[in-house]
Amino acid sequence: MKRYKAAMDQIVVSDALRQRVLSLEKPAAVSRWRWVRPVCGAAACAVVVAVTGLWFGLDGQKSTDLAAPNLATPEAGTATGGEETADVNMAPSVREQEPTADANLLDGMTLANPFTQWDSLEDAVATLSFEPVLPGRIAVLSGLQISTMDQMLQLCWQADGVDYCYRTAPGDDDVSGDWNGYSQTWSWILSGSEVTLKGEDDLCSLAVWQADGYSFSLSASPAVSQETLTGWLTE
Amino acid sequence: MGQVSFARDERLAETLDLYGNMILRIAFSCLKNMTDAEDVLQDVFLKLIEKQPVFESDEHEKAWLIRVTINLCRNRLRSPWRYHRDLEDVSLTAPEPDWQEGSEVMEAVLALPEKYREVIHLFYYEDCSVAQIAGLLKKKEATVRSLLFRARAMLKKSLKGGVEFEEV
Repeated sequence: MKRYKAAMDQIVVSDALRQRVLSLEKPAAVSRWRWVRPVCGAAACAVVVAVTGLWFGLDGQKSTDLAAPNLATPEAGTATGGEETADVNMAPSVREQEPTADANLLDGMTLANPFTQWDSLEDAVATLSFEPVLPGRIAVLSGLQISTMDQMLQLCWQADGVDYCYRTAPGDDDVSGDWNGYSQTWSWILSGSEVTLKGEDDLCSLAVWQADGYSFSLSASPAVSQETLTGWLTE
Repeated sequence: MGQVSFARDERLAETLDLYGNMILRIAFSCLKNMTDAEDVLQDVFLKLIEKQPVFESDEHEKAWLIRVTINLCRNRLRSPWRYHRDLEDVSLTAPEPDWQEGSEVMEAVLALPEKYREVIHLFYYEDCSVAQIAGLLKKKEATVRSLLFRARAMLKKSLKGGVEFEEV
């Protein structure tokens, strides 16, 4: 490493550099008012955040107001047989469904809600060109949120803190609308038809199947055990 | 006030004469160019003027200066500004040393990653012990030994004619 030392010895402080260093002055003392600028900046940011939050908060309130009236009325919760539902809490996507093709305001855009909500299952079925199959306990449930979109029937309800949604429509397309990639799938037989159960961590979020020219799906949020999900279809 | 300023200038000149070359060389070994090395030397003295540290001994002063130099070099290496210097500034750059001897070894050392350059320079040029380097770089002695071992291996590999090392 002598050669390294010899090479390094060539690096020395030049006269110009020495003059530069010796002419250095102590940096100006920091002003006692140094906190004014950051505090003003923070205050300005807080005002911007508050105004933005207020604006979007009001905007969100407006959207809710437009969507809420039909749900707030007692009739909205009426299910099969005219039973009144007192405690129906549906997922937001379901809650915003309107009896008519009303519109929701979202970020300044007008989005038409494709679902039509119905007060009774009979009224909904009357608009369909087929007699929907409602297996197991679903057919006799109270507190159903009933809606249709074209020829698809959607029934949503809540039980034990879980939101369930059952869909059926003619054809063999997947009607679940759930395109999540699940890490686990299971097969289960319902009245001779193979039902595909999808989920993660041994819990099911979705069941999809086809039978007799119709497509079906049942989703749960949060995910539940296989027995719980299939229980809705068998009992 | 005038006397204080004069005394400060005297002390500054003494420190520059005593440690200026050392700081410049450490900065060059870290940053690999004279312009940045000279800027670091200036920054180290700015820190000295600003902090006005009280040193218990010459060794303490030397260690403080090496530590500040390495920290300022690391800050520069991590600064995005370093990679976005305007071409106009090229005229302001300091001339690079014209290596008359040892250019091959110098190039091999400068080609090492930063962490190896630091230990090689401190050990072989500044004659710091492994314990001292460990204290300066805030690393374990075993880590410093390991860095030296690997750096030597890399240098042996890159220098075809071989290079003689003093053992740790």
